[in-house]
Amino acid sequence: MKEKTFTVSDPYGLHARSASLIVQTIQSHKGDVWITVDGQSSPVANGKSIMDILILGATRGTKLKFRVEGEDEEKILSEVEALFLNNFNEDSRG
Amino acid sequence: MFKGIAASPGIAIGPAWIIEEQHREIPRRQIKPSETKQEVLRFRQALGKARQKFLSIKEKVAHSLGTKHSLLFDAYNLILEDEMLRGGTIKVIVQEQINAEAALEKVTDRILKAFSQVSDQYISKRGHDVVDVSRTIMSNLLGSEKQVWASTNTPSIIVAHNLTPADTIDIHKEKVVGFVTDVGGATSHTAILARSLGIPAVVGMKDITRRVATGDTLIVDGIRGIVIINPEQNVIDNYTNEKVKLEYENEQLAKLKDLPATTLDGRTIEVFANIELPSDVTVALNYGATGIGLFRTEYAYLDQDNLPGEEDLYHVYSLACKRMLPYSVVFRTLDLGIEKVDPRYMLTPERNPYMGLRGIRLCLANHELFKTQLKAILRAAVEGNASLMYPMIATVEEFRQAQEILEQVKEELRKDKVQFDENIQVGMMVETPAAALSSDVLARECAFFSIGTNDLVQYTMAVDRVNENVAYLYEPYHPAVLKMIRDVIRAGHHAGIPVSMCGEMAGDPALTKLLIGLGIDQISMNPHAVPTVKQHIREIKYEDAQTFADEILTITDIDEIRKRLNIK
Repeated sequence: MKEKTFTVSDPYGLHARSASLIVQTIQSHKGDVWITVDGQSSPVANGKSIMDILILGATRGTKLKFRVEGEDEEKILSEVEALFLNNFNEDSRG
Repeated sequence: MFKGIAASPGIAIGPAWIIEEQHREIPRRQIKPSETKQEVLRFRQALGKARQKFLSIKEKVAHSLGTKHSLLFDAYNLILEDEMLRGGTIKVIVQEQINAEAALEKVTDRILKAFSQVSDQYISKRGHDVVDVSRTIMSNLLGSEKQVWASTNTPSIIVAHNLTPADTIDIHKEKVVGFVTDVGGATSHTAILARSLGIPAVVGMKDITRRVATGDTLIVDGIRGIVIINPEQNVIDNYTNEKVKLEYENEQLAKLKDLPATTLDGRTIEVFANIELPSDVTVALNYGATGIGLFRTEYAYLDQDNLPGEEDLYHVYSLACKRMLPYSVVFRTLDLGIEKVDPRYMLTPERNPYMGLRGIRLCLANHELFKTQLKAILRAAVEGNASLMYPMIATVEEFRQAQEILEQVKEELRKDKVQFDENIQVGMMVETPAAALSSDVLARECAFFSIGTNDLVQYTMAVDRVNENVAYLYEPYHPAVLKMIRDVIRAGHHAGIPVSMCGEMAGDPALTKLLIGLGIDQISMNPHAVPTVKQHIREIKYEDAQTFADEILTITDIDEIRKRLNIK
């Protein structure tokens, strides 16, 4: 089991497009990912469910804790981290 | 003739195609245990059809608008396949023994309830995406697809109350020539997409869907924000001519994009664009603007129920700065009335908001509001080439007070060791007659002037241009207005500062020669006006323009001025 926390930096929070990139990344691996708002025990979002993630209501500045269990733990976290670091490629969009 | 908000430039003429809001009865019934399997199958088929639809839309969007816009449909398909929606609905069908439509409705409501519990206003609106997806599945279940205009053979003008992202994009470009909607603004989804598709659109028409029937002939004037229903033949002829001319010109003007706005005798005028969203930067650059002369900052304050924070603003501003590099961006600080930022004033609005607590007055009365924005601008300026200007200045004291606050903000940033642009240039809008008439004094205080003609004309003529009884008096060609502009430019140049103009007069090609002749240094306009104005500049001599301006300024009769400027 591995954990890592990332901060949402998009001014509009974690919206459908960014959430879908997270889900697609996580779905490409076998491991399970559980996401919570840092400091809260519930709700727990399944990283493979876009709806779960959207309902977390992550706004700009929200810290999200990703807990990975199973295969590819490091790989999943580093791929998710890349998404956050690049702000989900939002900056380059028109 | 009806007036709305010009959302995407161009002219469209064609039959209306009304997209009805669907208020269809959703059947609810108990099913027999033997029907369960069939009902689940029906639901799965409806789901599969929706998935196909989103995939094909995604492909179309990726093709016509680029992958960046198509990602939304990936999200739609994930929502569609999400256990919460798919599994949830199947579970309700099986456990409660109700039909698929009723089960889907129940589950959708449940999900929306979960969304509405998210406290953040913006995020809770995400429920809309779920509604879009659910509606698509529902119409598949109900059998009759939402009227698809793609089925018409004649290129049509889409008239709708509102268009969802899926609606807007699910189109055959060759079959849609215009958009008209009841709701929406210049920055609504419909508007942004229409602009990127290059389809004329007028939005915010209030109840146009009730005034138009499918098949009515419409003219959509996306330049002036006008829709004409069943026009006379001569009106159609006039617009057809304008349309043909426009299309030809656009082709010609596209060639101008990378050429400088230099007169025949070598004077270069900066032609800038007015925008309000970072995404408009691309539009501005595509039209060949070499800077943003007016970044309106009000959008962030209108869209949200809560006032935006420094980080929100910083993100938006720095994005605009970065995208515009190596060109510059001029941020105009908040130009809103008190009613827009303090809900208490919605109940007892000011009697005369345009002469009330707005623009710089509001900011000077509300330091926190002002400081938050100034900090964001100062920080964003590090990312690019930015300057700022204050709106609505009427006295030199206001400018000094604003500058004092700016210094305080800088001090606070220094203390917090936050990076910012120490040497940001600060200018002001000249849009009150008071400022215009004391421009010689003001020019000694600021780094540049930007003449805001819309307000300057209104305040000079003492006319509310929206008031139909007096709108005829909104007269940009009035000698009083022209004299003021001349004097502001002179005062600026006398003090050695550049003078720019934003507002409608700046983008009016009929005025280009006059403005150049008066010595304007920069003109900033709606992006789509840039090529035409640039072309005009390239065809004149500065020397001739000066003589021309001198002549115009001696004329005392408005009609004579209009005649000389070739204005109908």
